[in-house]
Amino acid sequence: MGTYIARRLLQAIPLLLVISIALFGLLHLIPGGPEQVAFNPRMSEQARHDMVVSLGLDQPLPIQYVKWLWGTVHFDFGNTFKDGQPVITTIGDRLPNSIELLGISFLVALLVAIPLGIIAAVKQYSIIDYLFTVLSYTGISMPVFWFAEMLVLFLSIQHNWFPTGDMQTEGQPSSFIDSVHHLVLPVLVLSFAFIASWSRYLRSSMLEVLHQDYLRTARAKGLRRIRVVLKHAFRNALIPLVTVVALDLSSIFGGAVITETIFSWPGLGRLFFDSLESRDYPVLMAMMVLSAFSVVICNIIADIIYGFLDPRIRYS
Amino acid sequence: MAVAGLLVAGGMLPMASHSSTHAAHLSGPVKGGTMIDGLYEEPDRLIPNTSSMTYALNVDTSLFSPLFYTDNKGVLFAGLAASIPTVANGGISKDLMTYTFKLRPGLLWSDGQPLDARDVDYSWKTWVNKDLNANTNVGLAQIKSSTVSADNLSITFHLSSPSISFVADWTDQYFPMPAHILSSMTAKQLNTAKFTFQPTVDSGPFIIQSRKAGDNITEVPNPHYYQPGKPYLSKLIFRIIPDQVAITNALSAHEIDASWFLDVSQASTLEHISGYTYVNGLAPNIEQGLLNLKNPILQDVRVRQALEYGLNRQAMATDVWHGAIPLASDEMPSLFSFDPSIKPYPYDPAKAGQLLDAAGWKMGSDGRRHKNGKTLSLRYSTTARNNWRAQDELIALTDYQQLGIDLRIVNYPSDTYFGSILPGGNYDIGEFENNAYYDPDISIYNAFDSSQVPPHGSNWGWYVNPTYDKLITQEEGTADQAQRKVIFSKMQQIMHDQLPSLWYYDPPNIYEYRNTLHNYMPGPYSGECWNTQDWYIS
Repeated sequence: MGTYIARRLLQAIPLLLVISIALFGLLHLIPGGPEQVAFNPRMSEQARHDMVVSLGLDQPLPIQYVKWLWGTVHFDFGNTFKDGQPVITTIGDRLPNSIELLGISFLVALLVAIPLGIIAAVKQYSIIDYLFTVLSYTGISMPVFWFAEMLVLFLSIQHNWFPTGDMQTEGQPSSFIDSVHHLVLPVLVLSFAFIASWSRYLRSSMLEVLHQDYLRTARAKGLRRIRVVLKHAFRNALIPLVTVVALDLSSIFGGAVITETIFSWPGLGRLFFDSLESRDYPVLMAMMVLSAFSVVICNIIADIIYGFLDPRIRYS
Repeated sequence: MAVAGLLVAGGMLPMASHSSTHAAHLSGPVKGGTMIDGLYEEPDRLIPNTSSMTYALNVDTSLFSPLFYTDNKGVLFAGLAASIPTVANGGISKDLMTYTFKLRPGLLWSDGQPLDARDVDYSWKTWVNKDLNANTNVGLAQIKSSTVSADNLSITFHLSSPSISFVADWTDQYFPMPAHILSSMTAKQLNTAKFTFQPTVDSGPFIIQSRKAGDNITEVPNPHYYQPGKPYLSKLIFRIIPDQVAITNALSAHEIDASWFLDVSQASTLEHISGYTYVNGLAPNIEQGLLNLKNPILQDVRVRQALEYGLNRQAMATDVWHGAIPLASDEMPSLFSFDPSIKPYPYDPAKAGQLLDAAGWKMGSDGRRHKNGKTLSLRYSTTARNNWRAQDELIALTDYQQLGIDLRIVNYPSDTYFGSILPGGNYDIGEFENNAYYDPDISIYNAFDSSQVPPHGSNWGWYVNPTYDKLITQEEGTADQAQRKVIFSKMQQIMHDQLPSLWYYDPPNIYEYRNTLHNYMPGPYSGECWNTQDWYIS
């Protein structure tokens, strides 16, 4: 296993290099580079020159890339163009907020999507299945911003059950209950979309497994149906779901722009959007590379989980 | 300028030496309570004159005290200054070239250190330092030298040319900075210093308790604030809500106490929130489309006039602002300098087409105008995520497409837009709201005097007109307001004929506040937070 993980990590290095080169190049193709959007033209020529030199923007693009890469491997993503603060600090300020929002949303989504997917598959073509199908397609097709606004309108403004946004009640001492209260609506919005999609994946893979011969054999042996479904079918049906969840999980570094904006949640999604608008390249590059890295890591984790789920999979 | 000018002319504007009470609640101010203010944009730098963001200036005003300030009616008061300099009290020389600012004795910074004329001296010298990312140097560039008195209670400025607006230049901006904290840093270091984003020592009614990126700025009273017994609030929280609909939601759910610079498209909801007061009042502002005259296409006055004739600004007023606002000519009607005989251009697309034809831009078979093989293409920019400006852009896009102009829209966050895009000239038409200052000279000089072309100032349209410059110099050196008005009228006519900017309309000031919040009254020149010391909750 250790050798496998090491090999996968080593294989990821050239992949991440190629991704970072592509991202670096693409970013610099965006019209209006840092010279246009990030510098105050009132600065003296000398101050401007000093800043250009300190940011390495006077160097050819390949040199800039190599310097950026050298810093990155040492966890130094440079300073933001906007306020000159270390990128790692800027991202670090927002990362816990995104982990809190997205992490809990993932957890809620998993806890709901798994039973829904199983029930829908086991009760195929029943009223419950049709109901879940309708709800799933609603969740998949409903625009996030509209769903969020509707929740705010009915649950916050009309009934005053939940706050319209923010992470905690301003001006009050922070408390666990208050934080949970503020999490309900954004988590509901984010998890609803995940539940809709994940439960469909699980239903489909469960249906495939439920028709396998070994399940018929298990039932013929006299095992209880619930045991057959949960122990034999569910475990084998999880592999496609693990793949999808792992990919979605890697989006944590991208944040959730729309949900964060509507609920005034100070997460990475808003940071990325603001940085994109202001062409804050160091922040953008750091976030995109961290996203790429998290995709690779999440995929490796998914591959490892495959082995636990299906002993036939060998890591050699 | 108007201040000094009016005083020289006999004193026509009301003044007071100290702000005491404004609209007072019958039972009197109540101490304590937390007020939450919804901010649409997150301020960047919070030390004075280092940010071009309006919201940063608003928060700044709660943290730093000005030497002079205006209230919600535009009346001038002395803040940290002991009095308003006049010729009569010896604060201004008769030739308008020497100004003496006297500070109140016994002023303290929030850390208990003395605040005096040395801080004022340090501040202006820092703001004119080219290494500092300063917002403006209007008025400061005219300072030849300064002298601090032996008792450190007054500072005398010697100007290079007569200036009637020097007091106004300092009004509502240029809040002194703490020299004892900042003088150990170079101007370059100040640009990125932690203090710049979260000042720990200030002179205003509040000090920052905490700042959470993207979330809130929490302030508590400054124990050494110069107005005794104030501020009344025990906590002032600026909550960052980066979406106008979310602000409306927060007001509707009674989660915030007030918000300013609200979106007119939300008016139907905002007007009906129970327990809140919605204010949509005329303000001395002009929404405009500044033209970048570095672009050779826009150097032809016929093209500029075609752009004004060809843009249905009445539709902007009617459809976007529901028809309740006046179209702009080129000066704000509430200012004394306004000449009502100069009327806005009518909407006349036929005339616009003729002007473009005359300028050599002929309509091609592709529906676009061309000249010497070049397409008439312009880049239109404004602040991103702003609903009413997006609708203005839609109207401009439709109108200019019909005229055969290829309009490309590129928007930016406001700090980038005002900090780099406009000053860097990286646009063709730049829409924004120009707010009036206490004296009309300031915005005019700032925006259209040739000496203010970047990097020296905020003439972001690169407008250069020696005649106009001469008129500015004349009015700046004239103390009599009637004479100034005649000069301003000539200048207004030049702006109207030359069109260095497209003049749209006079947008109102829209804000909303909880009925239990008192003295919340944003000012026309001083913004939302000029009197946070007087805010209280009953």
